[in-house]
Amino acid sequence: MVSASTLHVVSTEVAVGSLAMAGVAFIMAGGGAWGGEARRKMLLIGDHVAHFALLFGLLAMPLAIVTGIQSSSGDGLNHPLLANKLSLAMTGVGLGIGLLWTRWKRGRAVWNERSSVLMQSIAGALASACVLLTASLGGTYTRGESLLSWLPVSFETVPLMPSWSSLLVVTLAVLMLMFSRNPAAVESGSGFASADKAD
Amino acid sequence: MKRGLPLVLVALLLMFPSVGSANPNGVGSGDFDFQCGGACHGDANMNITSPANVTIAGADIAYEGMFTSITVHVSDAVSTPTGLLGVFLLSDLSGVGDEPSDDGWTIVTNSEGTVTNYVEVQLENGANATSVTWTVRAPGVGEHTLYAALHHGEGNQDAPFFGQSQGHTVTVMPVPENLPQPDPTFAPPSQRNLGTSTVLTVPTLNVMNLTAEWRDETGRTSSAEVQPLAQNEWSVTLPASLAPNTVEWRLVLTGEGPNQTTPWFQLTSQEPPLDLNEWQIYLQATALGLFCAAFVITAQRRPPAEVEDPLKELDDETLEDLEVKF
Repeated sequence: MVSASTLHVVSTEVAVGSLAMAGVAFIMAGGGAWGGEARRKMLLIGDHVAHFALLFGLLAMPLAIVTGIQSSSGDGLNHPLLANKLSLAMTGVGLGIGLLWTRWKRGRAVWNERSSVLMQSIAGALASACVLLTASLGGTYTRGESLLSWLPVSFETVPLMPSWSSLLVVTLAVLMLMFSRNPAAVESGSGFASADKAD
Repeated sequence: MKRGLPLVLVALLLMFPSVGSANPNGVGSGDFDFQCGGACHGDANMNITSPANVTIAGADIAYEGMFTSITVHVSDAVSTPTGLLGVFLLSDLSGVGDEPSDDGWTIVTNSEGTVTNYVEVQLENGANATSVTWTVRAPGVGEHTLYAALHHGEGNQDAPFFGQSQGHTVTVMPVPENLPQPDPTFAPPSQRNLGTSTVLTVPTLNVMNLTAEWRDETGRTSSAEVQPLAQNEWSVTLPASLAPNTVEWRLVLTGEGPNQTTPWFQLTSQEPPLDLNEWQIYLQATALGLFCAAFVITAQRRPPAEVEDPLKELDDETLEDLEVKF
């Protein structure tokens, strides 16, 4: 039987590799969108690579999280680094899901407006950074060191909101999602299929 | 295409036995039978005899329900890529139902800071010997035999290596009358937190005076502070540990009967566990994830209908160009 720690290594490599590539591609796509005609090829490649790599990385994330919890010693979140890993991973996953959802619903039009380009490329890079930092904390937890140990941030303390505050944030997020359902956008038909039709 | 799926399935089936043939990083300490000590390859057809020399040593006589210690020495061990060596304490070598508890023994502590019959030790680079000590509570009166065994991997071989010791027989006798002894209900701890001294309440029987000793990993022995709390009840204070390590301590009991010295009990210091409500962390992480997703989606919710596709004109041309290049 393959142990959880072996599966964790495999799934982490898939997730981290994909999301690192996605981060670079999001920055590339953002640069392409700002560069006018000359950089449209960069935008095309960056757009495709970023979203496919992000999707692939997000698919590997649940396996990485579950096997990570199973392979760590002790029960549950018994170390500040593990608690911070969970928060960072979920932040990265949240950003990633938002990016993919937006790209799916709006199609390539996400690269049309300055605000949207900024959001897509910066959030993409942030999602990648969150997952890379998560993996780095894993190295710190198991080996006591990692490539990002030089960062002037301590993860030995856990910033923790009160439960009522977390519930408030969840409620706020749900309300934002409800209000963001713009019927006009849905009816106008965006996404890959409609973009192709428009072509 | 019809052959594709079966071919993929067969390829996967052929791949997975080699991937899953071992646990190169070990399985961690636990209560395991010899057969299933993390490998389930205990039968003779599927393993190789380890060249390591395994011996077991301990007192020949113990009193029923009293503490005694058993030490397993491993020498001439082969070096493995991970340096991991799994060491068992067993009550027989049948492979099933052979944990010490199956013969009435109770493991109190061991030198790895656990209360399990199987421990994994990591050999330093170049080292080929190690020892593990178990402190156990003796079973009922009679003769009881204990065995030691080990298993490990080896870089160039697919099969697991197994080794075992000769049996060590302990004659368990009834407790003599008036023997100074810890109360049978006393259970020494095996782990404690860093930075705080450990105060133990030790109930005893037939004890008029009690002293305690402790030693660190250098082997230097010191006296521990002992205070009588009541008749046959004592308080023993072990100093705080400032770094993760294992200290050993023992009791010297004096009374009307012959003086008794307990075996060394191992006490491992570790960082205090995170004192947080796990569900609060899970809730916060979920809130962060949901909020980030909602923020990205909400911030870009404008309908794109009137805006021109920035890639519209160049798509076909660029894709053809890319096809040529790749």
